[in-house]
Amino acid sequence: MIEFKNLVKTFGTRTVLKGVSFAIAQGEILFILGTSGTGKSVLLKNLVGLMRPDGGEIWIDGEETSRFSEDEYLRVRRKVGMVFQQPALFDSFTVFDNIAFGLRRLEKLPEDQIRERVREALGAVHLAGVEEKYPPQLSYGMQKRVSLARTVALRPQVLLFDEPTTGLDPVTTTAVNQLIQELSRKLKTTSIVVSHDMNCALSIADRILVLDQGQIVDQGTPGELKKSQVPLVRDFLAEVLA
Amino acid sequence: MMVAALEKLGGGLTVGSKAVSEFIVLVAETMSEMLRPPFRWRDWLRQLHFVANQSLPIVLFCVCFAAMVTILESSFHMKMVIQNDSMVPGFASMLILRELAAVVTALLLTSRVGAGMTAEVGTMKITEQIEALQMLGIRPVQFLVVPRLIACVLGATILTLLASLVCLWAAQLVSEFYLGFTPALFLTAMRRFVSFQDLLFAGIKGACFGAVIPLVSCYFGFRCQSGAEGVGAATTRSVVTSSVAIIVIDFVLSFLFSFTY
Amino acid sequence: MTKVASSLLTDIGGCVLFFKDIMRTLIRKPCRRVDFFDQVWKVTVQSVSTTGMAGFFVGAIMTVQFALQMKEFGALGFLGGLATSATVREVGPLLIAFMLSGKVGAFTSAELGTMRVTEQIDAIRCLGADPLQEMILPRFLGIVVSSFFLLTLGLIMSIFGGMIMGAAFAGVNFEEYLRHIPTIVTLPSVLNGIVKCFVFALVLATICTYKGFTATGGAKGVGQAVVKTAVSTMVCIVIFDWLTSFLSDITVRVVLGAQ
Repeated sequence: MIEFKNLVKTFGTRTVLKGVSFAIAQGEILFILGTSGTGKSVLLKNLVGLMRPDGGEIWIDGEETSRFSEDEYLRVRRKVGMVFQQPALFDSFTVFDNIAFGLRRLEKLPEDQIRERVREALGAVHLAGVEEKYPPQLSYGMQKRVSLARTVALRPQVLLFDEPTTGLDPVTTTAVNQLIQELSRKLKTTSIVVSHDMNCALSIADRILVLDQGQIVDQGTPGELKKSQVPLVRDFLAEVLA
Repeated sequence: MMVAALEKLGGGLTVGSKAVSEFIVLVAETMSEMLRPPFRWRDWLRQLHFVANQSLPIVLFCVCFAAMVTILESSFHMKMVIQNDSMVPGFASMLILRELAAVVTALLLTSRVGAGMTAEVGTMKITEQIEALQMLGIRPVQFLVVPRLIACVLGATILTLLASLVCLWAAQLVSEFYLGFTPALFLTAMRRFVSFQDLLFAGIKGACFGAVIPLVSCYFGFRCQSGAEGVGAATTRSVVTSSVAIIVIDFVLSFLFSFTY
Repeated sequence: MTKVASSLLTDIGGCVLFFKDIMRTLIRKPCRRVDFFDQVWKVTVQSVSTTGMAGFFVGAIMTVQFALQMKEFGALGFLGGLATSATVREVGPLLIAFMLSGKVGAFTSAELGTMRVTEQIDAIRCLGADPLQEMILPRFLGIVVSSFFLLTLGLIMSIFGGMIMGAAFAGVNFEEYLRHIPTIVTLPSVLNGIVKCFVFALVLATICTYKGFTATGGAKGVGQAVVKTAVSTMVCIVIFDWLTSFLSDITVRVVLGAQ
């Protein structure tokens, strides 16, 4: 359903993505692993049009989207929801208004339905009764979950997670990872998770892709990856086993 | 209602007076630290280079434009009030020496140097670099504020004097090409209005403004709150406070100097 | 040297393109009225005290500087008129611009920069809203519109400051100070002041939203964006000050020539 073909992205003189090609099937949980600064987040941002590639194609449901205008991208963004690395909540809005923001703009739903959807989304991330609070009043882990709820409320077919567990303590990390798995299964969404956490990739991913220096160095199911001979993958695995 | 308003007012006053007293403590600490060794000559010079050398082009550029505007505007007013513009050079050079050069230089330094200092010290504060300095036995005020204060006082004085002269020169050129004053006419008219002491006073103004900028900037930098918005907010407050302080001090100095003319 | 020049040109070009984008958004999809009034109110309230205070002291400074010269020519009666005329035409708009650039310009670029580095702007786009329309346009218009209120306030305060200093310092009573204002401050002067104020506000609003919107790199990046905003607005305001003076002078000459 989503396919990247030979994607290239440069910043100034630095080429971050050097021809990346892969496809994702419906309902799959795909992990993209790699060290910091290898262009993992850039890959996601290209998919929803926050950045535009300098070469290659992006196919979503049989449409080549990388040349879309900003307005055409709104259609893509209704299908593809993104959870940012930081909570990226709007500080001047309450939690309710934060979650309702997309429902009002993208879906243009009536208010009573919005209320229903917000309640449902907060339920899905196991947070209830915080609707009237402001983001700074919540803990970082809770902000992360509200941010997840904001994206889930739009009922996207594809969920993108940009390093969802960076900066979280181990307990919250586990909770967030379980949440990702739970949401993907329950809502039957396709998920792409960008991360450098091999441990959780092995436990919840259907397929893992390893990115290094802007290129795919290895890919496969968790079982296949465990037997990989690529040095970077071995380094990642060594972390987990230790 | 009444009680709430009074409580709010009282709270505001408490916060305000606390801020003022903290500022005074910072000033006193800086003064005493300035006299205590070690004297970090190298830091002083590096800061001076940042304040003076690197601001020089931008300051001169701006005062030249300011000179042009002054000439244009004073010729407009002169023509209107006394129907001739023979006094323009004198009047313009008086404004340039007594107000314009010092204030424009100071305001530019506030935004370039002052804002930079707050952002720098604020970033150090929220990334715990200041605590790290203390752990290494280095006194933050001595390490951060003193070199900046010395550099700014010296730098602002020199820049103000240079800016005054370049601004006068630009004004002379503009009035020659635009209003047809020969250099001799310009200088004669100028001499009637201003004397050497005006340049001296400009230097004093520059030094005073130069002292305000680093003290206010470092004060807000030290009080910076954590997070991305903290540094931005501290910088904003520091620029505003310095600008207002400069205008108020300018008024006081102009008023004091006016008794000697 | 070439590096500095090319980055400067990139900056200027980016700013102009950004201004074009803002204008296009203004025409095609204007922001909600609530957001707009919200911003006008916020900007005005934020800057009222500083602008008023600065206006007061600038009026006082002008009077101190003019008084001695006027006395020499025996034209103390013109003191109020001249000081006010200079403030209306030149010093007032400049002062408002400097105060706004310190307060609102820096604040806006800090706010937008924070939203940028915490990915809030990306989130807005992902949730189907246009950040130019939702965030930039209200702030831009807010600064431009409220600059007029602040200009008026600053002028009134400067007349006030001038009056008090004139009485205390030069012995010009209030009535005499005010009497010549209407004869010297003419309509073209007022127009000149308004045009200047408008131009400065446009420049300031464009630069601070642009710098904030394009900030990168965490808390440090936000700090840098604010510093850059402060410096470039000051320089641009000085340049545009000359430009508007120059153009208005030419306009006056053309009009007079035609008559």
